[in-house]
Amino acid sequence: MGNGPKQKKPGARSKIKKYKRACLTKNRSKDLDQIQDEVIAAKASGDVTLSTLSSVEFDDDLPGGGQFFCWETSRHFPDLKSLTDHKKTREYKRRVKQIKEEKYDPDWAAGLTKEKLPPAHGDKKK
Amino acid sequence: MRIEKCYFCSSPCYPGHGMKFVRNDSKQFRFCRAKCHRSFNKKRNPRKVAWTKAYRKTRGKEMSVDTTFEFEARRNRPVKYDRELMSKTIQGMQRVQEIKEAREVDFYKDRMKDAKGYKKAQAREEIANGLDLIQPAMSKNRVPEVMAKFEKNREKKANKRHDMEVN
Repeated sequence: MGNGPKQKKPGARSKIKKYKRACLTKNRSKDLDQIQDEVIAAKASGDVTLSTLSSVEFDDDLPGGGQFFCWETSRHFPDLKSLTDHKKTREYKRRVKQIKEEKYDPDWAAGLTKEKLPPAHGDKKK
Repeated sequence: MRIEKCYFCSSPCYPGHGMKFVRNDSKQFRFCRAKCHRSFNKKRNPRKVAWTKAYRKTRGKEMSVDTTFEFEARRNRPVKYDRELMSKTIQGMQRVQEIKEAREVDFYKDRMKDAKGYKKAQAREEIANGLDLIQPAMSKNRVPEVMAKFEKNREKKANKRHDMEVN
């Protein structure tokens, strides 16, 4: 109550190109579980600083040549300042917290267990 | 063909229903309806959306640990058809479902056993806090503990007012 008339009609942004493009599947940003997987893989390979997650090679197509990459949100930034500014934002801090949470397991939610069977083609060579 | 489980809300997706999203890392996500698909696209966390199974299980509103769950598994190895085995399996499924339902009822009862007390306490609190609204209709002697709380609250309020005036 008391917010006044709506500033924009619902769905008004659906025709603006930049919002439309952001919704496309090809522009889909990385999901949380993908990033969590990356972190797990990096830690398993003994990479404590998680340096494999940040791109180092210079790439002309990426903002800032791909030098200023935030792996938590999987976004490239044009320079160091914008990257450090980004790391102060609420969005970034929230993402860091989310990554630390346990990974979502749909099978657990559905009450499915994993079937344990002896390997079908395991003992052939012996 | 199998009855899949929705990635978001964990309800069954029958063949021909819902939709499947294949991510570019070839992981597959099955959704039972557009509501779940949309929520997934909005990157909502199913553990934080109140109408999903994941939410209910993480909050302890439903059974999450039970031996009856061990029967239902994602089986990827086909079993050769055997009429006797088939009938036995179906009987077994029915029996397991019976046991599961009984346990769910017990779980609910156990979860709700303190609810009455909590609700009563809450109601008492509400009455004590808003007694000035219903005071004329109340006989003071009937609920002495409520009255005591009310007196305390009134004193607090009076002190606050007094402090404000002083300041």
